[in-house]
Amino acid sequence: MFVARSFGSHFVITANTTDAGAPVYLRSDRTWSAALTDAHAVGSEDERDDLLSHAQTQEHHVCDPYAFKVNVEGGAAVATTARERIRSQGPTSPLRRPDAVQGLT
Amino acid sequence: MYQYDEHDQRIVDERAAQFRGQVQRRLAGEITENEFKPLRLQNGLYMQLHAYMLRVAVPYGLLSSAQLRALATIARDYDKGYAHFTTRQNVQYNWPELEDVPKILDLLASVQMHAIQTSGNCIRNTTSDPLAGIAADELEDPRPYCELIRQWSTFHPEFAFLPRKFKIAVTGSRTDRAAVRIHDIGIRIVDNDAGERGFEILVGGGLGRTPHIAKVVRDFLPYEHLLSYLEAVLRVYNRYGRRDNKYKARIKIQVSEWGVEKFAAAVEEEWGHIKDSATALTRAEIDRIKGRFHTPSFEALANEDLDALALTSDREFARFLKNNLRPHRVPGYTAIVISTKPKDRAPGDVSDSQLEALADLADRFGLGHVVVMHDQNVMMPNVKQADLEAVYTVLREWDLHTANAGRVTDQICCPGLDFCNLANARSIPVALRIAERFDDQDYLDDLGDVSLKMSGCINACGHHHVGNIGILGIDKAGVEAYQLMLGGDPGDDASLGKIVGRAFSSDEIVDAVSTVLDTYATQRESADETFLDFYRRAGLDPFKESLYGTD
Repeated sequence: MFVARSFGSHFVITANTTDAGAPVYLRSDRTWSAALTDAHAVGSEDERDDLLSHAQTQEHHVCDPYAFKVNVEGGAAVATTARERIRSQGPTSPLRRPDAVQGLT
Repeated sequence: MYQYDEHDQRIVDERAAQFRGQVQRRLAGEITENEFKPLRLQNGLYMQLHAYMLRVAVPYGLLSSAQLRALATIARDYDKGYAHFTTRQNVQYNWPELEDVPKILDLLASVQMHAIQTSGNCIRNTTSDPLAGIAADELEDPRPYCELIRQWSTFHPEFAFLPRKFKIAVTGSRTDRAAVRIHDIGIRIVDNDAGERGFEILVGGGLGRTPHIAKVVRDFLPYEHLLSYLEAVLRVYNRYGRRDNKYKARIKIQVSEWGVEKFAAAVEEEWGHIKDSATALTRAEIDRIKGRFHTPSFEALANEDLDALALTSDREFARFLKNNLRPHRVPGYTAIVISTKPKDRAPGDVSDSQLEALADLADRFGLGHVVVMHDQNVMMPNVKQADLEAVYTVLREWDLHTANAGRVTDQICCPGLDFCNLANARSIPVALRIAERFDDQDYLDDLGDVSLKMSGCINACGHHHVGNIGILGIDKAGVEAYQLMLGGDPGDDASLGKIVGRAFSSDEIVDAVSTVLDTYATQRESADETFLDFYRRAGLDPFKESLYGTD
C-alpha cells in the first residue's frame, strides 16, 4: 500500500486517469472526482487501506493509486504539501495553461 | 540531415504500430498498468502530476523544417499549443492523451522521428555540439558517429534493461560544447601523435544525487573500434553495475567505487573478446552513413562587416549581433542562437506558431534545418550574414529575438514541481521572476557570460551542478526552498558547483541571485574577468559574506 510522504489529520486516495493522466480523488461512494474537495477523507489506517485496496481494482480507469494525508477544513480535504496543492489545482505557471490558477506563490 | 533508409523507416513505422496495439489493450483493460508501464516508458511516455508527458527523440538535436512543422502540429492538435526543448536536445509535450499517442507516433514516423528509448533503463538520445558540422575548431563532424551510435543502441538486445539510464555525448571540436564530461560516456574526436583519427573515451560523468566529472578511460581509440569499445563499456556496466540501489546504479558510481584504472582494465579485457567482431567499423561503413547525411552547399561569399552593421542598426539588433551570433567556418555565414528565454516565457518553451515560424525561417534562410541546443535554445546554424537583418525581423515578429544568449537570463530550467512527478519545488515561477528582475540588457551585458541553471529536484534535469550559478529546489518539511551553488561549468575545464550556505525561501531566492551578481560586479578585477574566473580566483567567501554576513 503506497502512502505518499505527507502530513495531516486524515487520508485521501488519489490516482491518475488512464485516458488523460489527470489527477482524481476517491469519493465516499467510491467513484472518482477531479476535485480534491470531493475526496473522502478518512481518519484511520484501516479505512485508508480498505479504500486503497478498492482503488487498486480500478486499473481500467486509473493508474497507480496512492494515499496521502490532508487536513479537513469545512468538511473538505485540504492539501498540506506543495506537491498535492499543485496537483489538485493545476500548474501555477500561467504561461503553460490558459486557465491558470493564480495565488499559489 | 540524416535521411532514413528503408530499415530506419520500417523500425519507426512498426514501433508506432506496436504501441498502438499496446495502448488499445491498455484502454480496453486487457493489460494492467504494471504491464503497460515498461512498454510506455520505452516509448518515452511518462505519467506526471497532471497528465502524461511524451518525450520525443531529436538525435543530436538536428531538426528539419518538415520535422518542425510536425512538432507544431502535435503541439496544436494533441497538446496545449506548445512544446518544450530539453537539456538532452529532445522535445517534450506535457498534455497528450493516451489514445492520441499512437497518432502522434505515426505523425512522427512520417517525418523520420520517434520517441524510442527516451525513457527507461536503456541507452538514451546521443547528443552533440550544436555547432557540429560548421565549427572552425572541428576536427571532424561528430554527427555521423552519433548516428552510428543511435543505430547500434536502438533495440540493442543486451542493453534493454541496464541498471539505470545511459547517456552518451560526442564532440568533434577541440572546445567541448557537448558537455561530454557530465555524460555516462563522453566521446571526443581526436588525432593521435601519428596523425591518426580516433576517439578519446571518457566514462562516469553525470549529475543528479552524486555528481561526477567523467574520467578518461582511453586516451586514443582507433575509429574502427568505436562501437565494439562502447559495447565493452556497456557490458562491464551491465554485468557489474549496481542493481541493489537505484540511487547507486549509474555507471559513475561504478567508476568511482572501482577506480578508473580497474574499470578501464575490465573494459579492455571485455573488449579483447569482441574488438574484431561484427561491430568493427570500416571506413566504407562510416562513409555510407555520412552519405546519408544531406550536406548543405554553401555559396562562395565574403564576410560582411558586422561591426558596421551593428553601428547603423537599432540598439536591440546591435545587441543581438553581439550576443547571439556564433562563428561559422564558411566565410559569409554565421550561426545564430534563437533564445527561448524572453522575459515572460518558461525557458525552453515554444508555441506551435513559433515552431511553424522557425520552419519557415529555416527554409528561407537556414538551409532547411535547426539544432536544439542543450541549453534549451535553438540554433540556426547556416545563416548568410547578409540575411541577418531579414532573419532578425522575422524573429522579432515571433518574439524569438531576445538577445540574451549566454547571459544570466539565458537560464536552463527544468519543468519543476508545476509538472514533474519527481520534483520537490517549482522552478518555472522562479525562472520567470529572475527574468523579470534582471530585465535590463545593459546590466546583463555588463555582467557578461553567466550561466544560471535551475533544477526542481536532485535529479538535476536543469543541470544545476554545472551552472556558474546553480539553483536546486528542495522540500523543507513540505515547504519549497532553494539551495544556491556557485562555480559549476560543463566545458573543457569542467567543475561542479559548491553550495554557498543555508537554503533560501521562495521569497528570498531571487534577491540572493541579485546579491551574488552584485558581489561579482563590484569585486571583479575588471569587466574582462568573467563570473567563473572571479569565482575560481576569489572562492565562495565573498559570496558567503554578502549573502549571510558574518553569521
